[in-house]
Amino acid sequence: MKHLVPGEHTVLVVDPGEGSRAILEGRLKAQGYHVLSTGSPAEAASQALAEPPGAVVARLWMPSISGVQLCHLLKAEAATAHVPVILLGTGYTPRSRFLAEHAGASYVRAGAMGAVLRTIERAIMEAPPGDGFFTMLGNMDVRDRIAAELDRRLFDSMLAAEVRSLAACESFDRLFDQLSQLLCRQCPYGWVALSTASGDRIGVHAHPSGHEAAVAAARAALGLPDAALLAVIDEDARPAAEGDRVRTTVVHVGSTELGTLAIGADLGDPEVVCALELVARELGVPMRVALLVEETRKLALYDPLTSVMNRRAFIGHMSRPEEAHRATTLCMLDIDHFKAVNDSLGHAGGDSVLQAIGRLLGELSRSQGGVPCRWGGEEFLFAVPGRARDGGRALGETIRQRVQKLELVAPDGSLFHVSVSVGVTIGEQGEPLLHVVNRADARMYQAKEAGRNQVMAA
Amino acid sequence: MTCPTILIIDDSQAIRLAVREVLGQAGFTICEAADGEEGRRVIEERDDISLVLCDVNMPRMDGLSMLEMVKADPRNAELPILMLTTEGEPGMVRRARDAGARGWIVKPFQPELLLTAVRRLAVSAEARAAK
Repeated sequence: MKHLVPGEHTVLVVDPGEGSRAILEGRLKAQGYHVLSTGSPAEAASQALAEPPGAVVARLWMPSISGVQLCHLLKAEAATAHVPVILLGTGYTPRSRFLAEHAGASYVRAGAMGAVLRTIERAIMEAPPGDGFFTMLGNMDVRDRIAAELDRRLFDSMLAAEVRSLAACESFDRLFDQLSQLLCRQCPYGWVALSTASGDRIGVHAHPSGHEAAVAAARAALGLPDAALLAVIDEDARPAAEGDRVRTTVVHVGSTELGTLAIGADLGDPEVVCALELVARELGVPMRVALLVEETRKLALYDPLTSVMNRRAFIGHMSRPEEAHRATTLCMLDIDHFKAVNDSLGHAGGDSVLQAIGRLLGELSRSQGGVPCRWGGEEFLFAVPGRARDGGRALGETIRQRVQKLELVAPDGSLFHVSVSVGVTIGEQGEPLLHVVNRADARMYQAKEAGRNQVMAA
Repeated sequence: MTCPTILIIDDSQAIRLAVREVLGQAGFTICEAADGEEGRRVIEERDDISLVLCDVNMPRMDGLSMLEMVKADPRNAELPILMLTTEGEPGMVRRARDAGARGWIVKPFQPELLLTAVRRLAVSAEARAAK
């Protein structure tokens, strides 16, 4: 166990009240400490910076410079950042303790001399050793310096609050858009980029001139040549410049890594580095919220097996005014003898059939439009806006033939095929969706009864 | 006892003269450089420098870059360097400390304080060199 030798340590006492200062000074000297004391907080600051003491003990409330302000200054300075500060309050007020501890000080009631001495002793024993570095302020006004430090902290808290408020964005794209709008008002840069930890997405904000080079540089910096890109190109970024260099910072919440923030800018400008570090530090929670909301939405709306919309999402989609106010061509397809597939190939085999059909409908949706949905079990819907002239027969046939051509691989490696029965109907403008679905369902049953692997349309 | 040699690097001749005046009277030997590049060369060529006083804002090479360059050479690990500057932004001061500077003195300096700081560092540097 380490023992404190008070004679090896200097305690700087700051108290404008001569009586109380003398009492504390006397008690500290009696303990064996080397003591320096002053009634002026400004003098105390210059003194502490020029010869960092073992501890500073100050009144929390003092005229002109408060103990809290003095502490903020000492903690911001390289010479005194390691020096423990003990602030003495006049009574038990929770707010005083909060202010003191928030500034990095210990808080003790001034009257409790035993507690004051114990706190000083513990603080000195726990403090990291200094390296002798000092700062002499010359004629520089300590008050100006404190004002500058408090301003810096105020700006930092304002920026931090703005970054945290991005938690309302609820999606990666919106988050990045708002983030770039915020960041470009903090410091000039050629580009800024944010990637997700999974590496599937990257947002880049750059100036229109040379934005392709900026995107390439951002992709290279983040090591993501193929991630899906969200490009925000506008003149709020500045054109890339000769001396721009790249800096990356990981964004995390606790030990969970969420992504990486990268910037291409003049890194000699301390404002750039400060803004980037602060934003990266505060971005964790908003980014986590955005990604969780996206993920939750995806889980709630998409069928996890086939990646097409589930019934709830499809009903929501079709109820939007732009869909409800026009006619729809709706196909319902049901896999023929699906129970036999499950029985002979197991559920993994059945799942692979469902996935193949989900993929096929997804491709169809991308190539010619339309919305696929897993309605339930082995039933799928495919809705195309507008009234097909042939009542949707051609669309139903396309789907039926493509399913029949699917080459499926059984667990034992052999190839097999499946077929679907398709019912098609036209949903009229304003007609309740469930009526339309029921009609398509009835047609699909007619197709089943007529021998399966065929299309029944109006 | 030899007089420790102090190198003052500053682009202002007035500051170099003021330092020469204060430290010369106290018995130190003074040599001068007018910018970071020249200062770095003097440190490289001479092995009798006990302490360096260095400005921050200078043409050709600024003081912080010079500091980082000089301290990157392990032979200069023990050489005390003090920054002597009108600057005082805490981020800059931190950078100097991290690079291995021993102190930061804001100009205009009080002569007796400068002398105290220089005595403390130069004498201990001499004592180390003598061992």
